[in-house]
Amino acid sequence: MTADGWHNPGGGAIPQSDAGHSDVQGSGDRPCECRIPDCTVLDCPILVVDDTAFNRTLIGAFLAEAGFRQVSFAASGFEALAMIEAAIPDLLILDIMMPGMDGFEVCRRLRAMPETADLPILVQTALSSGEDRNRAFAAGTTDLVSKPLERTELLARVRIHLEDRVLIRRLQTYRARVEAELSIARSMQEHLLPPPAQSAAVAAAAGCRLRAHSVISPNLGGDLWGVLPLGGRRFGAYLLNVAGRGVSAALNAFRLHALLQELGPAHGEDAAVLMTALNDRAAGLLAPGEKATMTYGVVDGEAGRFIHASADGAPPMILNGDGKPAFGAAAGLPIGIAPGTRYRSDVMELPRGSVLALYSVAVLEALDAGGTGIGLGWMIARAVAEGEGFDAVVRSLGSALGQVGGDGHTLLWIEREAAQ
Amino acid sequence: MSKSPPSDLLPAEARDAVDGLAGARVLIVDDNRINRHLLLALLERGGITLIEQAEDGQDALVLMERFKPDLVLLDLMMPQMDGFEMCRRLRADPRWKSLPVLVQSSLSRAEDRARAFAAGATDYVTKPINAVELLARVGIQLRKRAMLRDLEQYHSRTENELELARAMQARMLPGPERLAELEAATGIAVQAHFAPSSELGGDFWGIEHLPDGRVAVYLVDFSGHGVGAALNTFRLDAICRRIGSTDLTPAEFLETVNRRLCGLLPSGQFATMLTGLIDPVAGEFHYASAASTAPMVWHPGDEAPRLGDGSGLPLGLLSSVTYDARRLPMPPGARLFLYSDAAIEIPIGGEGHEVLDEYGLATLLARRLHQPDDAGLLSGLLDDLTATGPIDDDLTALLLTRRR
Repeated sequence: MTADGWHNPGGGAIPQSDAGHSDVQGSGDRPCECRIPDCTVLDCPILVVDDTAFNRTLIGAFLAEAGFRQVSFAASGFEALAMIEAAIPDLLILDIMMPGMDGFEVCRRLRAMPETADLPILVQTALSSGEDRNRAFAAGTTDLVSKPLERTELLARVRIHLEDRVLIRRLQTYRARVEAELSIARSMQEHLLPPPAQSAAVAAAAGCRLRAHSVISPNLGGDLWGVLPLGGRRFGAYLLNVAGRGVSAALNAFRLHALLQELGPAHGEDAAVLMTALNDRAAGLLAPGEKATMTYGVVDGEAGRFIHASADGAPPMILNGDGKPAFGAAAGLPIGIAPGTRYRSDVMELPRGSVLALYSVAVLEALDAGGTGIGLGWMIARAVAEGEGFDAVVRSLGSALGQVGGDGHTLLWIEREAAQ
Repeated sequence: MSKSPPSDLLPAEARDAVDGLAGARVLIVDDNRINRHLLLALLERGGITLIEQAEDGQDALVLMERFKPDLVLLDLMMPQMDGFEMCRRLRADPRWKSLPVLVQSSLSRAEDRARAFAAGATDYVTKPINAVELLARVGIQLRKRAMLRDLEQYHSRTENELELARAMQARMLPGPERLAELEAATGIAVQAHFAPSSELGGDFWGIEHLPDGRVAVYLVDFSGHGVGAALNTFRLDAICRRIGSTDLTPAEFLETVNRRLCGLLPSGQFATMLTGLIDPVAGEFHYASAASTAPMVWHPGDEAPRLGDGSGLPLGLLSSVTYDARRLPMPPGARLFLYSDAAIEIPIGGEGHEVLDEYGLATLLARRLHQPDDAGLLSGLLDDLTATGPIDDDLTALLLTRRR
């Protein structure tokens, strides 16, 4: 549905013919470029600029005979610029030696304007001196053909430039449309995550400070986290990652998010029960091979405990200031593999002043080549000891993942207040 | 061999033209060693460092496999295999179809140039080589190739990814097997058309045979289209499956879905939805609508479809909305037609941006009401719609026929 008030930076919809992106086929006409159907190129507007009527007629006849249907003519540089301002052609065939404004100047002016900076300009010239040819290229010419014009050569040049232009434009249009679609989708995915003020308030009610670092890939992905407010100085926190990447992973993340919204209020008190219920539901939605890893746990700010269940998620880590991290021992199959899987809870002590870190596997891989968690634990321990904590870890993450880019990752940092 | 002029003798524009070409690979093919060295020095001065040389066409074709150049500088007159033949062979290989081949030759007659282009040359410069022109042409070709390659990589990567996602969306809809089972069990035949305007869409439909013998059907259309709208269809699928099996009236079902969506959708996004129950015993279609299109029903002998009422607030805007229970008679032999608004928002020209609208659609449909073949009826109607004007939104159309 297209509707008013719906922001659509991608502009209009895509005609059906472009949706398959497979309409690039051989023309069979030219041996070296068989990607663009002939009719597309023949419909490209071409502007011929020459002060000699005979040359305009000659070029027009060559082009018409080859089947080009949209050829227009200008008799001077000024006229050409005025015509281009009204409508930009796909190719300019330009004479150099013209009274008034010569071809060099036309070239320079067109190159100075962003709209025509990439317009193919085929300069036809009687100049045989190298210096003048260099001047033409320096002014921004794409290509030179020598006068007297030779039909086969002129048409070969025209075709090459138009085919490239059509192909580039088609690919650019595709890219612009897909990027616009992904950018809307990405902001929707960001919207799935709790706003910082909300998650901070939920954690504060349990005497904890929660901070999150979450990066969503521009191409979307399967990372998701959230909090569930629970009574009695407790709250639930989950972190999940759908296997795979890009749009398909995001589609399943949206499904699981919808399920969690439903199941959370009913089963959030018990980590194992929530995980079991989610898995049962998800197994009916996910196709074979689609799965997600997840950690869900309840932070109890009163009793000082973290009770969690794991569907093959990265183990939660607790640092209590003695420098040795404790890792969660809960284990279980990823979500979506087998309905009926019973998940079990694991209890971890969360003393005052300690830090609970939940992180996606991408974080583990970035900061800890061995995947044992020891490197990550050491790093977090040092960061806590030096008093910078979360910010220092996020900085390290930035430099570790910065070069890789692309993939999303999440780090949740839950600090239990030192004093009551 | 002439000494290379210092690079500051090149005009600034020519130096700019070859900027950013450091990673480009160029293969020089020339039987004359001095020429090769001259070209090599020239390219290096232009900032190109990955250069290989071949003495003739045969030598070059072997080297192509290993070196995988981005551009070939090709001489025409060579022993063993000449440049014309080499060019033809390159173009016959799909991998080298679009590779820039810049011919550099002392042959300057128009016929030679024409022959070279006919053999597939991309560009042609005449010897003696004009350094600035050669570098300008090499730069133009290489930059264009780099841009094309970048765009093509993006295209193939996202195309694959969206294809995966498209298949996931297709799997969410009832497949032919399920529809065949439904028809065998209930006598209700379903013919469906689902066409997102890009790879993914915001339309979504489902049908289910309830234990009490009734058949539940729904059709949803999310605001927007493309990936974003598709994400919403996936959440709605999860919601519908969660509440689908419970015993709700269509109006209660819509109210429940609306409450759930209100908590999930970002502001500005919404959905229209029609949901209904076909009751074969009562011979009625009970439905409720959230700003959907008007359902159409016709019976054997009818001359025109009867239009139902699609009015109601869209989903996701206000959580306290209630929906009206509505009904249309649907005896054995009757047909029900449901569709997304793309089918009635087809521009038909005229002064005031007029669109086909529901009555226009009903008129088109009236011509085919009693065509016995469901698939033929639907595809005929879709042809009519396509002939009416451009359809620039996700289009879903469902034809349900009570066979008994």
